[in-house]
Amino acid sequence: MGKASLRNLLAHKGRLALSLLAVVLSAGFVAGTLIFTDTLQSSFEDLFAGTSSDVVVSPAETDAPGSNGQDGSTVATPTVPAATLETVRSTEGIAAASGDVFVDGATIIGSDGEALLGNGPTFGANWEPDERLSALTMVEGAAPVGPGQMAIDKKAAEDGVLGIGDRTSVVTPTGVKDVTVVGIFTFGVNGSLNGATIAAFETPVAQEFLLDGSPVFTSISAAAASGVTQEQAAANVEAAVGPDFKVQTGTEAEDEAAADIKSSLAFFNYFLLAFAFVSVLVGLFLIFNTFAMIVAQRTRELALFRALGASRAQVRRSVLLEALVVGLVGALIGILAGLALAAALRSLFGFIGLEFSGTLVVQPRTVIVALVVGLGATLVASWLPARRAARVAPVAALRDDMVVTTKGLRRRGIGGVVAALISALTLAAGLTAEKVGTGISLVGLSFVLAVVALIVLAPLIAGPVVRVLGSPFRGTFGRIAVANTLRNRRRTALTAAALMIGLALVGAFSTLAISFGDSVDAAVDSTVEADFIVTNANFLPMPTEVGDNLSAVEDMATVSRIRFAPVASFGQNGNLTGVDAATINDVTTLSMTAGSADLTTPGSLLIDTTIATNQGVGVGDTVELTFASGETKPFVVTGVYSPEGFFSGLIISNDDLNAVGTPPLDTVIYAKVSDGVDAASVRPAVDASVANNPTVQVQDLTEFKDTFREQINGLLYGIYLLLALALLIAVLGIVNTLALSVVERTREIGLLRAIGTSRRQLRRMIRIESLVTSVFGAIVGLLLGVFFGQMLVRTLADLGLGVVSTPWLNLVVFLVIAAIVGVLAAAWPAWRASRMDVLQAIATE
Amino acid sequence: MTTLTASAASAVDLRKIYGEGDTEVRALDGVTVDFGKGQFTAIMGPSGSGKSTLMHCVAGLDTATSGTVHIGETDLTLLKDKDLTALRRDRIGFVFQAFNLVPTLTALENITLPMDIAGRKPDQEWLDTVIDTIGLRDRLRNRPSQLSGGQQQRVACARALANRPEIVFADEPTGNLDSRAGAEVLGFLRRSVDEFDQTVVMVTHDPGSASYADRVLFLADGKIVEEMASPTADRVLERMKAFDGAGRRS
Repeated sequence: MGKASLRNLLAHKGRLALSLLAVVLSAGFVAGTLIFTDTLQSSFEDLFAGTSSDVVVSPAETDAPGSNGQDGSTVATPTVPAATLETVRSTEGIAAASGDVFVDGATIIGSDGEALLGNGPTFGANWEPDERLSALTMVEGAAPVGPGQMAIDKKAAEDGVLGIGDRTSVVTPTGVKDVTVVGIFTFGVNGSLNGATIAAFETPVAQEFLLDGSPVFTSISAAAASGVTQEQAAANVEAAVGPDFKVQTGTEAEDEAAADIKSSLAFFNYFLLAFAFVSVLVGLFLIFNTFAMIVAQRTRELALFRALGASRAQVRRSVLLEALVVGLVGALIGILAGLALAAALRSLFGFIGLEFSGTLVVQPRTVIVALVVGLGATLVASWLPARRAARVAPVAALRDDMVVTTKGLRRRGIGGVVAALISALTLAAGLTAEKVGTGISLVGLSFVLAVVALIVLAPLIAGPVVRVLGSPFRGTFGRIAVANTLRNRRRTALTAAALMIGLALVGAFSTLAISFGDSVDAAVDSTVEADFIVTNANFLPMPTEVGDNLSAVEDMATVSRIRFAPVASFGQNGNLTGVDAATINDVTTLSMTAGSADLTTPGSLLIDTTIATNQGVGVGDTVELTFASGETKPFVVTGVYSPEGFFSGLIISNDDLNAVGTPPLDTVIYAKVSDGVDAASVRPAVDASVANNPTVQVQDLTEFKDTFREQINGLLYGIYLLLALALLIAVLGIVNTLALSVVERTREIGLLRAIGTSRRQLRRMIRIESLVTSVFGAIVGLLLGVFFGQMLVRTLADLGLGVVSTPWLNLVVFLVIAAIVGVLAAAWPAWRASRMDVLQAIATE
Repeated sequence: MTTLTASAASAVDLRKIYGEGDTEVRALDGVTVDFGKGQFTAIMGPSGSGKSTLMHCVAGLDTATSGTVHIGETDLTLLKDKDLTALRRDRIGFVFQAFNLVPTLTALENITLPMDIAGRKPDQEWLDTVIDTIGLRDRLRNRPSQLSGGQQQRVACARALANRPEIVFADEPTGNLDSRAGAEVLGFLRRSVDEFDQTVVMVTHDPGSASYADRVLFLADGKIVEEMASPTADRVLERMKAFDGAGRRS
């Protein structure tokens, strides 16, 4: 039997190619996703490998709000005084030490005058020539000396087309500086900080540009003397500098940096894992479908073996041996294909702005999962029909008209309905959940359950849906095509399932994105009454001169500044909003539920309704606020407002913020022209007023909304791109199913040709079949996705997503794409069917 | 031999050769034949005699190596696939041994299939006549799987006639049927010749079936070796015994 099954394998090359393709695609898809995820992860983890010196001394972390300084709010950078550097230098076991300045917010201007915002932070640093103490390695030029010189990282030099000797400028927290590029360096082992840029200056210059000019550092790096371990050196330093500083070994510092990155990537990883999961599922469908069909086709051949005296076990073994060979070869080729896929994904991501370096990572886990998916699915997929084939009485199977049974649909129906019910209950729980996080998780779970229910129920839904979809195809071939689609509903459903899952996700993400965009529009329209919104790149705080210059513009009536500062209130750390008490109500509208929006009296506080409810405070109550400086002050609630648009949480006046020592930096500036003046006519003057701050952008409300939408869409396109791959597999699934069903129906096609069906008519028939199948999957998937997208938006309503939208345009576009995809998928099977030799087809057993 | 104008189909010096040199097989070796209008012709012969090949070539399903084939006045050897397909659709009816019907269509839909393919409306009066003749009016909405083998073949015969073709080719139409069902099908083909003046060409290996025909052509080694008018089962059987390997299906 072994020889028979191997020979059988080689005898049917077309069939072999199709089943092998199914396995290669599925395993490759899974492997590719995993390799990509691992590579991304390790790229960020390796980012800091070898970038720290032996000992790192940084300011101690306090309980004061904002001490992590990573939330984009305005806070004075915590520093280490120069005296501490001397202490470290004279500590026993330390060979060398230097003070570091490393701050976010030094944006290099490229040779074309555009800011190099890259796709991440824009760091400013001091140049430290001692390689033991610095992560930067000069590759070209010389160290920067004096306020007119700057060294930049290689990536920034390439992206900005900047070379040694080029004059340009750099935007720092203290203003725009004209500098000459004198050196180009690399960072760490990977050469760059992924998307980030680094501008380096001589230490005193860095202190002046990036800090407030005093001789302090953001941290101190020290190298251990030879023979002294990192731990020993760190212990010595810790003893010498005292408890006011955090002392870490280099390894600890690197691990901490990596952990920070890792946690900020967590969401992305979940997404990629979900994507990998989808890919496993889609892959399983493809393999399962292909093998079930192949074994079904072979039923008669297997029955012949049985009739000739082969035992059931022998028949099963023969099928499994074939599956084993195909599965193993397919999975191995699939892993190689996965490598190519991961590489392609990475360059694709680089293309849309998410660059990361390092080599592709193939973990043992990836190989195992790919093998399990490829080999395991193939074995299971052929085992079930093989068992069925072995059970069939030899004579029955040898009969001419073997009909594939469709029993078990009832049990399927019950299972599907149960899953749907659980999904509905979970959804109800999610929609009524108190906490947003719980709500999202429950609605997400409900979505997954609904998809499962749908896959289980798909063969039952297929009948009515396909009949409706097929109704426009009136002719005989339309009828035959629709009937063929429904001939084996389970197969049609499985074929459509891959498309269903992919498009359910597409539908959900489209709905989220559109709703988010519409919500932002609505928020801007209802709360903002300014003519211009001025912000800095990456929402970095701006120096006050930006607002001052705006005020000086002729016909400018109001300039109102918004700040964000860390605060501790009600026992929790968070941010509050600072506003210009005198002008804020001229440029925005807060919908008050109690009290007034007047903050002109010092010590006044506005809270939103959520805080009012949760904390049980109202107008007239006193609330204690603790600021980054450590100072605690009482504030009196003068008003309660409904959170909307850009306003939520605590709001106090900027004067009160200044009083507690918050650096005077503005995050958003609203500007409004005088009554009766056309805003557009003032625009050139407004643009001119910010011209010397290249990273500051002025937008009118329409531009502001458009920018938001572009950002959302950019994210959405990234997601589409990933899902496009899932769709590709789904399409190949359709091709596979059609090609095999064409083979299955050889005699029928032969008959149709014999009695005068033209090749064109035959092709059309198969195209309709494919079209109906793919549109079936698309419609069901999209509907489900949009529904759950809207449910998710509902649960997010508390976070300011007030508008639930339906992405009609996207839906139509995706349906059309699904239809085109269906037609394209039919091309090859249809061509094959139309080229079939009539005589041979009729004679086929 | 009758003249060209009176014949529904004819072949002149038809040759069909497979392979080359030592492996050369002459399936048809210079066959000249004429199927008269309104005649029921049976083609008989032992396995490998070329009777199916002859039918396939004349019916436009296969192309001969040399020689000419005419359906009516149309020279098939000059036609491209597209025109051959249209010719089969509009001017020829087929009944095969098995798997004659499209399983996803009802009996009625199968009967009107050639017209539907052509995008023509069937002639309702003629359709009724044909359906009444096969006697399956009450089973028209059934699918092939709900019909017996004999009923399926009768539906196939109805389809072959529904388009009023110039000629009907039947390839072992009773090969898979028991004798009663077979007799019904053959009786129907006979009536179509007698009552509707239909031309029928049937390939068979069964002397009983051949006795329904007006004449029998005997093929051996790709050549017509004998022609018998007004055959009876006994005479045909007698003749067949003369061939080696008689009784085997081809």
